[in-house]
Amino acid sequence: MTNIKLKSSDDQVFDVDVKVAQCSITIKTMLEDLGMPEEEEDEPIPLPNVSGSVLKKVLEWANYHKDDPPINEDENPEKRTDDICEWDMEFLKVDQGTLFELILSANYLDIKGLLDVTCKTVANMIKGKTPEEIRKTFNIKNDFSPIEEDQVRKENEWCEEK
Amino acid sequence: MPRNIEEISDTPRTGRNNYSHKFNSFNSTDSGYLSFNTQSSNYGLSNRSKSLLLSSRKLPSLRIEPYPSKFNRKFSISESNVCSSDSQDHLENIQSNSSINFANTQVTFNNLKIKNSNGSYRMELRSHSKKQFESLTSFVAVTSCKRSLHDVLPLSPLPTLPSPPFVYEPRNNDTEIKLVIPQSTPCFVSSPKLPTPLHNIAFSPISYKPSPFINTVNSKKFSNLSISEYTFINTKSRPKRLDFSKRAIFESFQKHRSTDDYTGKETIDIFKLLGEKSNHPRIVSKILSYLSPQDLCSISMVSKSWQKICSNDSKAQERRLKYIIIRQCSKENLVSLNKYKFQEDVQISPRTRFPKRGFLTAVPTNMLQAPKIHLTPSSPPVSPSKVIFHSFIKAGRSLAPRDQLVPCPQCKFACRVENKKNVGICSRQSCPMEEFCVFCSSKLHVGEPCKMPLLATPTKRGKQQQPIVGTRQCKRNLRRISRLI
Repeated sequence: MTNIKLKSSDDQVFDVDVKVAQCSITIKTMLEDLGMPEEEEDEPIPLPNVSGSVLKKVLEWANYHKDDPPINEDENPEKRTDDICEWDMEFLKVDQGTLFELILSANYLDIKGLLDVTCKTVANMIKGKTPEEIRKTFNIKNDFSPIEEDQVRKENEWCEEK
Repeated sequence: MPRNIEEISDTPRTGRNNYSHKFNSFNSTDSGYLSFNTQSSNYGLSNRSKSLLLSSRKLPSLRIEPYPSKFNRKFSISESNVCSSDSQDHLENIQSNSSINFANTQVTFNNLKIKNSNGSYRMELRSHSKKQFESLTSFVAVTSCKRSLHDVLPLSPLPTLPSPPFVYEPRNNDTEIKLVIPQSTPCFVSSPKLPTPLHNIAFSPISYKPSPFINTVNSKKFSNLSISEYTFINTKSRPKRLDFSKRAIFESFQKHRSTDDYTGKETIDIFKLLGEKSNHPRIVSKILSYLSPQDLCSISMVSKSWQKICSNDSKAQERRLKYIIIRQCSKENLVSLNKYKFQEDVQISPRTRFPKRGFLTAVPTNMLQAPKIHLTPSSPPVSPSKVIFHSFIKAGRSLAPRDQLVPCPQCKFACRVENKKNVGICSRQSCPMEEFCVFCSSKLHVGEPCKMPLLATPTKRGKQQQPIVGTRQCKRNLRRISRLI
């Protein structure tokens, strides 16, 4: 199995299996378009949008999920957020900053599975919470003026009761 | 000067070829060049026209080409050897119509010394246009004695010949410098001893083309170049397959990275960063698609930016609004259902009884409050059969939200039941039952359980589902209950 090199934004070079790297549609497409790098070409593929620590995490995820079947987009319209597997749950027990970077990287590298699972994690952080609880979770300041807040509350009045 | 030659010639060919082709150019013909033809009728150079092709380019090479001599010697000089700041000065000299003297062998171009042992070499450039370097056409008169030419363009097949490194670095990349010395042209600068050929230098712009050979020295130079220059050069070159060696380009990419590194931060305003700072609507809508409409409502109440992001996502907004409308439509029923669960046997007020038909559902508050004025004057005469009905209407006007009206168990007039209190107050002042328990319709008993008579037939109420308000089943039940009472 051939390996390719990926270089993060902070010049860390990762030597990864092609199969793992092809979890990323971006890299896969690139390799298809440009052809596989030849043996003597040791030039690493630069990923200027991904930092080393995040790329390491992404590759860890990709390595675990390399044998997953491809996900079909509209296979199940039912949007569920409780179908995150145990390993991913453990994997995504990170701070929100890292989670955010993972989302961006998954988006940039076009890794659908990772993007799904990270988005679900974020959704789970929001689910079933009142606005005040959400603010507390993400450390957001309530920047509504009292009048605006009243208006917003009225707008969503009927949804408050559960 | 063998050392110079060694420095000058970069290609491997130079070393390999035999002496007569020792200085063959490896360069492509489309590169910019500076050439001059020399015709000398003197001594060993007679009948041969020589041209010196000086390739002058920003980057790699410079060559001196004897043209069209059979020897066809070309000298190539890599810029890497001759890069110098002096070149600018020399260029300016040429532009300003000055004459360049190669006189007596000590011409220093770019740190390389030309030593013409005997001859003097005089070069005069006259510019037609001083402003435009591109359109500059100059005549160069070269006063060369046979010896100097002989030195410059050696005919003798000596392997170690001094080569004149005419290094000429133009300021403008797009300039081709051509120094053409036609045959038998009149002398411009007359030499006292020798006939002087005319040298015509033509400067013409050419489009820059990358050198086909970029050796390691040059690539090192590339990396030293500034980014702007570098990208300029590389945009015009064809990209090599999987060639990511252009470090400078990617370094410049990194500078434009849209977001900072947020790793390690415990809490971040994730939607604001996704939606406003970095513009990832795809991710935002993906996250929102995982959320229920109720969560969407909560999100839009978090902060301004979250509200904006939520309303910008058309799908989520649509779901949210739909949900709100559904909730609004079923609101009356919903509240009454909650109350029903809470108070169990409470009779339901007319307000909540017909929500589906739209009766009394959307009564604006001003309509409820305005008739207060009419309460003070004596009520208009009412037919005796409608007295009870009117008492409901009257009481309903001043009814507080969530309060209910129930008929008085005694006189059937309207009685007000305060929200969450199971105490009915009859609106008729003369009614003997001022206060009563709404469950058992008997006199008020605080803290004591209702003394309900056990019904002979057991009801199925506990087992069956809560009837929905306004259905036939519900009405039948109500009728039955009221009959019992």
